[in-house]
Amino acid sequence: MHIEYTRLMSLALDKETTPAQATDLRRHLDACPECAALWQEWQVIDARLARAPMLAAPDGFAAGVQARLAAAAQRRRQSYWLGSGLLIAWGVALAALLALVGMAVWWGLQHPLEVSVTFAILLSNLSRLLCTMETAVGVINGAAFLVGGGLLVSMTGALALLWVWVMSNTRHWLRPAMWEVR
Amino acid sequence: MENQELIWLEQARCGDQSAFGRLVGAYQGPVYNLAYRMLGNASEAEDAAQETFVRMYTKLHTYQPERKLASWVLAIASHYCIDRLRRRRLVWLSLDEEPFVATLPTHQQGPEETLLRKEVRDEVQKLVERLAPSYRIPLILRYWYDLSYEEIAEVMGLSVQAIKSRLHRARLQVAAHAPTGAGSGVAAAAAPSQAGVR
Repeated sequence: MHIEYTRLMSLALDKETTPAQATDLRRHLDACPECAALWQEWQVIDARLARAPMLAAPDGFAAGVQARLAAAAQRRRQSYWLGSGLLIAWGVALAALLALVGMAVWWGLQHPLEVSVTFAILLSNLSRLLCTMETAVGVINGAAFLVGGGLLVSMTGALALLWVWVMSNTRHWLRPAMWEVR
Repeated sequence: MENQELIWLEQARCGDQSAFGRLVGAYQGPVYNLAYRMLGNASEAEDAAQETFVRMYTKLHTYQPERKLASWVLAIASHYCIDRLRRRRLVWLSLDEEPFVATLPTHQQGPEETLLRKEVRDEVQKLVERLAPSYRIPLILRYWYDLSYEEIAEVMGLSVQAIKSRLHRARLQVAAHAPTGAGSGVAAAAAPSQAGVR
C-alpha cells in the first residue's frame, strides 16, 4: 500500500482530485495490484456509507426540547432568587459584623488582635458552611458557591482593611515605642 | 429556506418560543441523526440532540449571520457529542432495545427491503463506531450531510487540510475494520461505481 496514493484515493472518492492527480492515480492503480484492491474495497465502503439513510427524530422530540427549555428557565429563576437572597443576607451580615467589630474596638471591649483571631475562626466556619451549601444545592448552577465565595473574598478584604485601620489607630499595639512622642 | 430560518432565529432571539420551536422542527432530523451516528444509541442520541437545542437556545445571541445556520447547529451538536463521548462511562445497553425501528422515516417498505436496509444500517453504524470521535465527525458530515471540505472545516473549527487528512485516516481505519463484504447482499447491492478515476 502506498500512502501517498491512498490520500489521492480519498480525494477521488470526494471528487476533489485535479485532472493531473486523477491521471496519476489511474496509472498507479493499473500498476499496483495492492492499491487497486484497496481502491475496490474503498469504493464498496463508500457506496455503503452513501446508501445509509438519514434517521428521523423520534415522536415527541420537539416537545422534549420545550420541556427542557422550561426546566432550564425554572433553574435560572431559582438561581436568581437564591443569589439575590444570599447577596442581601450576606450584605446585612457583613454590615452587622463590621458594626459589631467597630463598636467592640471603639469602646475598648476587645483587643484588636483578639477580634482578628475571632473573625478568622468565623470566616473559616463560614467557608465550611458554604461548602456544605454548595453540596446541598449544587444543582442551582453553583450560584451559592459563586455568590458566597465572592462575598467571602470581599468580607476578608474588608476585615483586613478594618484590621489595618484599627491597628493604625490603637496605641500600645505590638511596638508601643513607635507611638511615644519624643 | 435558510432565509426563513434566519427570520425564525431572529424572532427566537427576541424571545419568541414558537419561532424557536419551528427551528427545532427544521433541524431535529439532522441533529438527531448526527447524535445517533456519533453515539450509536437511540436514547442517548435523543438526549444529546435535545441538549444540543437547549445549548443552541442559550447561544442564540452568539450566532453570526455570515455563517451558514446549518453549519452552526451541526457544530454545536458535534462538539457536544464529542464531549459526551469523552465523558462516557461504561454504558449498559438494554438488550431489547431496537433503536432503528422507531426512528425510521415512515414510508412503506416491504419486509425484504426493510431487512436489507436494516442490515446496511447496522453494518455501517458498526463501522462508524470503530472510529475515534475526531475521525467520526468528518466522515458523518461528508456522507450524511454531503458537506464540502470547507463546510466540514467550518463545523469542526479546523483547516481544510486537516479535514482531508482526517477523512483519509478515517477511510483507512474503516477499511481496516470492514468485513470483506464481496459476497454479502449488501456489498452486491452497493457495487462500486466506475465513476471517479476508473
